[in-house]
Amino acid sequence: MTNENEMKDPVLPLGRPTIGSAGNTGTWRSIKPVFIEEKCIKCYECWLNCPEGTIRVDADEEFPYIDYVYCKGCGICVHVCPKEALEMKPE
Amino acid sequence: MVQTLEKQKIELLTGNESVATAVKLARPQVIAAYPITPQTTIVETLSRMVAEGELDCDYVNVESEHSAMGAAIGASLSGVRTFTATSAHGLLYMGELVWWAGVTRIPIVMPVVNRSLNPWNIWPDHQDSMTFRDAGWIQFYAKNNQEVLDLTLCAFKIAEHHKIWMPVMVCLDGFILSHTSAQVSIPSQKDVDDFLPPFKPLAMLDPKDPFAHGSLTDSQGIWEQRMSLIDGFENSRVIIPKVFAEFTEKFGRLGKDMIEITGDINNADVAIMALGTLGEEAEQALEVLNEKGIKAVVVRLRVFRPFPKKELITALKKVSKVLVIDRAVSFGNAGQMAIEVQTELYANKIEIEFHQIIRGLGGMDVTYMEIAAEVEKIM
Amino acid sequence: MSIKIPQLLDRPDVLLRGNFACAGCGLSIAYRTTISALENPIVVIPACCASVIQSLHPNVTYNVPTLNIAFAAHASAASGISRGKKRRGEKVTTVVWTGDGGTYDIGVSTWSGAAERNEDILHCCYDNGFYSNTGAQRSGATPRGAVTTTTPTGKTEKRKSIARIMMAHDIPYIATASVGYPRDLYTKVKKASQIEGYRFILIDAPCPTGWNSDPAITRELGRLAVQTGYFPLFEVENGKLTFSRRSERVRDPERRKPLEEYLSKQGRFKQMTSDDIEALSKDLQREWDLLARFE
Repeated sequence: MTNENEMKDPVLPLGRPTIGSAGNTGTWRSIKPVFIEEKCIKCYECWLNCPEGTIRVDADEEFPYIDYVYCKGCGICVHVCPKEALEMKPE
Repeated sequence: MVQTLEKQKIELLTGNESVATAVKLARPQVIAAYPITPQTTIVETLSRMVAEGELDCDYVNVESEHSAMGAAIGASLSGVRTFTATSAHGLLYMGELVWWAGVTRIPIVMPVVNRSLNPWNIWPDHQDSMTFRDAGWIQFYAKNNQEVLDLTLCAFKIAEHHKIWMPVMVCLDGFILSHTSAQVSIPSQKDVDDFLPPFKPLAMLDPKDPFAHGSLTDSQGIWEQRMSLIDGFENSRVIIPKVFAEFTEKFGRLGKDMIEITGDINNADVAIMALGTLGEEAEQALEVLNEKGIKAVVVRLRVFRPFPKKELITALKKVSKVLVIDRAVSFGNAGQMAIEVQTELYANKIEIEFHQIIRGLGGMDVTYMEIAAEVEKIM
Repeated sequence: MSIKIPQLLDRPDVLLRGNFACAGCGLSIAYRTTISALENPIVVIPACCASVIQSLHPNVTYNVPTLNIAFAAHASAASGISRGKKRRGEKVTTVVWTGDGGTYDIGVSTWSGAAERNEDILHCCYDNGFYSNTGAQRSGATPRGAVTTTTPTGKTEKRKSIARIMMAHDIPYIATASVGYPRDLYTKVKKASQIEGYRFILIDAPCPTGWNSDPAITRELGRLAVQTGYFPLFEVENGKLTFSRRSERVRDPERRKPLEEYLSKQGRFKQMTSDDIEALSKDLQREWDLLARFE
């Protein structure tokens, strides 16, 4: 085929940013962190130390919340909370 | 259309200076190179050109050939035209990245000044470039310094074609071409700018549009990419002659064909096949053979990858004997070109008497008298 | 000068959730903290855990332009990118993001050349003390006595001092940081981003999977590494070393938490006898003494 327009384009090895690139990683966990809202002082240490970014804060002064679709249940948030406002519960 | 060509300068240039001149005209923006005999005068000439303001580009003095290819890959993906050059063990040392550039499609142009492999031998044979014939690079073999310059310029245009987007290796025999002066006609910058427009990336690392290049890929993904590479080579079979033709029309030399045939193919009994300077040496043998009543032609592959199957068969169909002279060996089998020519002949059911020899390893001199004697032997 | 957490709230989401990283991964904390502090980052990642947590093509976890490259080619590729982008007049931060394997061992040639040329690159090394990606084999960063799959009875050699090797290259900025103190890391990254030339940040990043530690205590391990004197925090600016506040506090070995507190929480140190711990302590103190000469 000599018509350049009919020629196939090169397939380049490009990957795009994706939430959930490994699937619903929430299925990995057997225990999950749960907020005890009345103890939370919104210091956001949990947000700062979450490896996955599943603890989310919409704006300053708002309560943090967890995206359970992807939370892997590592438990770091429970350990870093200065007010014990998080606890691990079985799935 | 009547065009006015700027007068071309004719200068006495070595093969390496021809490479450097072509690179200068191609206006790369970032080049990386590490010296290795017999490529060294390429990097030194380019260095001087940059220092004297003849070439406006970033010259990265990397600490190894592996880093030279690494820097070239990074530069290319950052969105600029790039370049590097090497030989023999330098090519082997950057080997994994040569594959990286090949199979992840980075349009780098890299002259390889052919030199033998270990034990230490600085003289020419094709063992180095033949080692990478599988790696997804387009490969050219130049017969003289003019072709070195011309093929290097064409290489940029071919590599950067958006239906190809693959790296190109331009091979030139060490010392025989690299360090030997010959008359070379040099096109003007204006005419080269006309022929080779500015670099236009097919994909570029860009914070405004993030992607990950070459991340972990499963079999399906690898299959897709490899098949696409095969398609790229198919596209190149059409585009390479087109670019050669464009160059020929513009600059009055080179010729459009991936195979150069010297002699009258329609009246020949035997074809001699050899790459690079051995091919030009074989041309000298034709006259000697003619005096002995042997009608021979030289069928010289200027393009080794893609392997020019169609053009090869069209030529070899017309002769009854072929002598393939390889300047390298695929140890455990035979000379690489011999293997590939035989495959093609068989695939097309061509009836021909096939002969193969290995010559010129480690820079061993091969004269046209020897070539003529070899042809005589098989008649 | 300490940055407040609410100031960080609107930092870009550079590592998208739901990737292949292990639960409690120290590298992930290091990545989110570091890369979100940079303007227009382009990240070069050689073979390492970071190339695998990236997930499977064509879906990746990184929300920044990323070049995957061979193990020993990171800084050379970054050199090409840095130079190319400058030529194009585009202002970017070229980052090498590598593990200790790529920095201490196989990648030494490439970063040494780039550092010698003072390329405009921010080289970050997340250090978990072994080749984590391939299943915990020893590296030059592995401390004496640690069990890895290729040192099953404990490593007999001491840990390489990558910081002192970097210092010998006379680059403008070197810093060490820990995943236990993300704000300190963020501040150092921000500082580095204001400097041109070759900059190096070494980040202590616990790997619960390879260290055989509880993923929930990743931050605690990062802190203990500093509090026991195992991992000194410092900066080197134009050849002059300054210990960071938290490490200055434990300069005197008497004021450090006992090393056992750090070692006992990790399975990789279970085989260590008191003699081994003594030997490791000597290594650590020697490093402190040598570093102090650059103050």
